[in-house]
Amino acid sequence: MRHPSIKVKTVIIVILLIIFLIIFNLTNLSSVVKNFFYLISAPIQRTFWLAGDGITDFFETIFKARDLQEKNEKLELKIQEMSAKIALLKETEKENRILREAIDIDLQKEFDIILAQITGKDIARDSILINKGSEDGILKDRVVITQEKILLGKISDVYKNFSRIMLVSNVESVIPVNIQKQEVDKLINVEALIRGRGNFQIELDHIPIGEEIKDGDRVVTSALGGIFPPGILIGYVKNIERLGAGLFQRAEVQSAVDIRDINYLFIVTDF
Amino acid sequence: MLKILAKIIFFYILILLQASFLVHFNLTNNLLSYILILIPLITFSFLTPQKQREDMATAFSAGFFLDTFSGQLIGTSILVFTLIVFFIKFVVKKHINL
Repeated sequence: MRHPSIKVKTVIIVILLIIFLIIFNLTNLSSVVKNFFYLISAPIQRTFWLAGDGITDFFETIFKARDLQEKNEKLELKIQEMSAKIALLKETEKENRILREAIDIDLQKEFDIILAQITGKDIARDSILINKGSEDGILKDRVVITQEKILLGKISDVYKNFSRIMLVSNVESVIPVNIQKQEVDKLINVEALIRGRGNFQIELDHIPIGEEIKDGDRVVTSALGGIFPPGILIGYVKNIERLGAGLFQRAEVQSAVDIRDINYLFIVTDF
Repeated sequence: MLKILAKIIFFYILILLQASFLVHFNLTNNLLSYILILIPLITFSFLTPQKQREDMATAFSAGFFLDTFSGQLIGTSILVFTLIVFFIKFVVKKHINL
């Protein structure tokens, strides 16, 4: 008997193999075989998987670190922007509140006023710097008051965007005032002068010797001189000195406001 | 016999590496899987030109493992690998005469 050639053998083997594989895939056998191999390979696959996972995690952390840093920087910038906006809104809110309060006490009905913020205080010279200047319509010698209608001083220097205020306590400051003393059922005005003594100290001078004034009497601006609107509170009389030989009495004035507590003030542009 | 077993185990490990380790690096698609298996398979075929049955068995095993672990129909890679090895052996036998 003649043996088939190698070529025929190969063809037969290939055909048989194809038939076997088709049957293998069509029946449940492939699933059983696959399952078997998955089962025995599971521990090795798990080891490889964990190793791959660990390595990719490591590289991902390195690559993502840059992204995270960029993201972090962007977020920080955003936070700064938001903080700046919040600060601005708070300032606006504060300004609005002060303006509302000013309206409530009829400040705006009585005077033409401009709201300003204190940007610097020169305690040694009893002057303060505000954030409004000639561009905002500020002129020299304009009166400066608080929202409670208490006199602070007057504008001494005007710059383009800023102005300097000479406080009532400045040594160069001399203001004609009225001391309001209560007598039974009426209020009597006693004319006098106040002088700044520096360091937020105010001296009351030129009080006629015959006038009976007492501690706690109100000191308000006088219309004399035409610079200050009349009746603006400055402070209260204290430590009266009655000089024996002189024509006038002297006293100190307790300022009605502590300049250290003020951040906003009003410039009276017209009264 | 031991050599065949060693080769089969080698391809088994290689395919497990593909299926469980290299997938993490996005290095596995069908073409790459085939290339990764074919390189050692072809190398073995050239290194042992006389051992046709041994290399055919290795190609069969490699194809079987690849089909099993790649989820495709069992037989696809078996046919591709065995035919490639058969072709190499044929060419070597006919034209190179090692």
